[in-house]
Amino acid sequence: MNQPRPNNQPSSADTAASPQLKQEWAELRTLLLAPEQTQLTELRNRIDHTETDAPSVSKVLAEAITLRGKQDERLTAALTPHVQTALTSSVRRNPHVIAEAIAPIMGPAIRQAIVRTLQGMMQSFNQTIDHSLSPKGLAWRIEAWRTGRPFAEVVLLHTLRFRVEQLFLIHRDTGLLLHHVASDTAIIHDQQLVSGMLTAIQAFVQDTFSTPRGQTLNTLEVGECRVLIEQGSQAILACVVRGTAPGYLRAQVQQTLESIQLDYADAFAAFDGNPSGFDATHDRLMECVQTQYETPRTKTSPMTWVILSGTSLALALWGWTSYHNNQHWKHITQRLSAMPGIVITTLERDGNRINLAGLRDPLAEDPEQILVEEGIPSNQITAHWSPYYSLDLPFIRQRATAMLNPPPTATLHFQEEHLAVTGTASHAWAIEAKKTARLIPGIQDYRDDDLRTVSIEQLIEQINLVSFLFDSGSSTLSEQAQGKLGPLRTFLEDLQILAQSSGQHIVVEAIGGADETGPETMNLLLATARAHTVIAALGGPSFGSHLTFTTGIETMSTVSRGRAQTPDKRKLLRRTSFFTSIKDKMPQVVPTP
Amino acid sequence: MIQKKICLLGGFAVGKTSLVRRFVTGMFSELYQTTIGVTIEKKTLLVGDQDVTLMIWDLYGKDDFQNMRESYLRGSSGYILVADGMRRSTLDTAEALHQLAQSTLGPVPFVLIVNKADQLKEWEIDEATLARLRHKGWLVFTGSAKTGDGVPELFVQLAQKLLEAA
Repeated sequence: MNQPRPNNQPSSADTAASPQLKQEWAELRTLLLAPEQTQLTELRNRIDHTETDAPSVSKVLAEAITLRGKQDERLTAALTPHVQTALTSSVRRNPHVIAEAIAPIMGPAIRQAIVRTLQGMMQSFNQTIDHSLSPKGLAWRIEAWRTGRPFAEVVLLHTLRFRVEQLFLIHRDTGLLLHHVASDTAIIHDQQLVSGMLTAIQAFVQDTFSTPRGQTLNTLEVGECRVLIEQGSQAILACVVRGTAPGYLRAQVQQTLESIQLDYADAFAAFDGNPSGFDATHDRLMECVQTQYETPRTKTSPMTWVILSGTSLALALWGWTSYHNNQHWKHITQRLSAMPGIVITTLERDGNRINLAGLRDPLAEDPEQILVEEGIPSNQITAHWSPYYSLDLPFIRQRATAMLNPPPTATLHFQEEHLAVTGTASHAWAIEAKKTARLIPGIQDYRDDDLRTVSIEQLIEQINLVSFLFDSGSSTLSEQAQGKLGPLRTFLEDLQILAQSSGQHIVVEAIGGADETGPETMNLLLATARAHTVIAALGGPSFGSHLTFTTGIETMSTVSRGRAQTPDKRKLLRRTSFFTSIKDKMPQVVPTP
Repeated sequence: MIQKKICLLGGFAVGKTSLVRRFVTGMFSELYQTTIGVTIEKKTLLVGDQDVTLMIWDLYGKDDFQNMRESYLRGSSGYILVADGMRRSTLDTAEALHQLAQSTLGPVPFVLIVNKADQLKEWEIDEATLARLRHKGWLVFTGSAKTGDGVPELFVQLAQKLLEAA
């Protein structure tokens, strides 16, 4: 340094100088060095009395701190203990000040934390309760016992739709872990090693399979666990998800990584292995840590459906069977009740057995037969019937017919409770019927005014009075003669019936006749032909089982010849008349030629 | 805490994994297990007043160093070259790997350990060779993963160099 050094000390020559000289020197010094001396005095004052310099320091303090803080972290390091001490001291002295200051931040944060914790607890508790008693819950309890995990955790694992368990923010080049976040329930291994291995796996896959640049491994999947890997220019964000990750999660992870890379570009550039610069990414990463549980399934389990279906089917079957049985029973009851001549007093089912009791007309159908027809085995039927007479018209008619047993020529007419008989019957039957009819239940009145009563003798007499006249030389019935056939046939039918009922046999002999004109031989033949003509017209030679026709000819005696001289008398000879007789024994019918 | 990624490079069966295991767990196994790909171990050291976590990438060893995957090397703050004292060729491999690492990583700190010092009599690598390397500025250690000799020093020295380089 070539600058002259100021020297305020007097030389040895000066020491010998006079006081005047001293004064002059002092004046000269003052004249030459007055400004510097003043400055020196001010500087000394500043050094000696630093407290007086506070105003000037205060002017540059803020800028000074800002500048120093930008240079390095020494200012922070220097201030940190003092700030901590000051805070501690302040809290001890007057805690309300700090409490009031941070209350706006801490209040909502605490509330949110409490709400989250309670929600988590309630959800966990609800799920634990839900699954405690079910078969699935039992299986999970066994799993919890087997794996040594808490039961609640096993339940959570199984009911989880997805849960982001961990996020690794990894420095891309070095594979070093920058920051790691995890959910409360995640099982955390050494995250730094995991981080390194994830990077190594990335490199391994990329090299081994020679994937094009920019294409990296973006998913690892093992069982329920999936690792979503997003690679950026500076960092890798690996997201460990358990369960089925929704599609939006990858996009969210990607956005988070991009925003971190953008906001922490300086930190990435200055990264020297110290990850503390990335601690502030915690909240942003935690936004990705989310859990979604399966919504309670409203879908009923297949087993429940099977049970419900089975029960419904069984109920439907039971209902249908009951309905069918009831309808069948009702049908049986109606059918039994509708049976004429049956009065049901007891009809009950005792298990498979049917008990029947009541009144039954002897003419009524057997009710047990109806039950058998309806599918009830006869050995399951117990019936007790008391006989009675039904006054139903069909029964009255049936009973009356059975009791009166009218001959075929007589007809019974029922009009409600009145009975009338018409036709022809024997006199004996008519008397018996009149007596019997009054005893028939349900018959109030019996009339036989229109019943014609005849006897065998009367009929024989009437038949014997009938004759058919023929023209001369003819054996053909005239129209007039044919008109007699109908009444005669009625007599014969009545006679046949009466003979049948009395067990007798009737022989009706048709006797042909001829007048004396012509040769006698011809007359005999003509008489025979006339008898056969009438028998044929009546439907002979047999007329029922108890009546038989025979033929005969009327021979003319000398006396008769004398009497038949007039034409009218001769006409009476050309006839066929009848001779009816009763035989006790059935004769052998010999057909006539 | 500072993390640093380092790699272990060396030929086949020189004892890289044994060195890492000895350093990290303090154990040694006679059973040889070949490394496929890479294994990663972690060890935190106190260097001065600074905690340093070493993320140790134990790369698989192949004498054909051409096939060394550079992607594993990328991002390493330093590396350890490992040679087998009983095989001269492994030192050549280590030197070749050093060239590869320097070209990939640039001038980052590294150390060399010649392993298997417990069988010194059978060594093919002589002291002159090591002296030559030291003369080139290499930090050369001899040690044994089996006995543990020289192993902690190796890693501590590298950690110190890493911090100095930072």
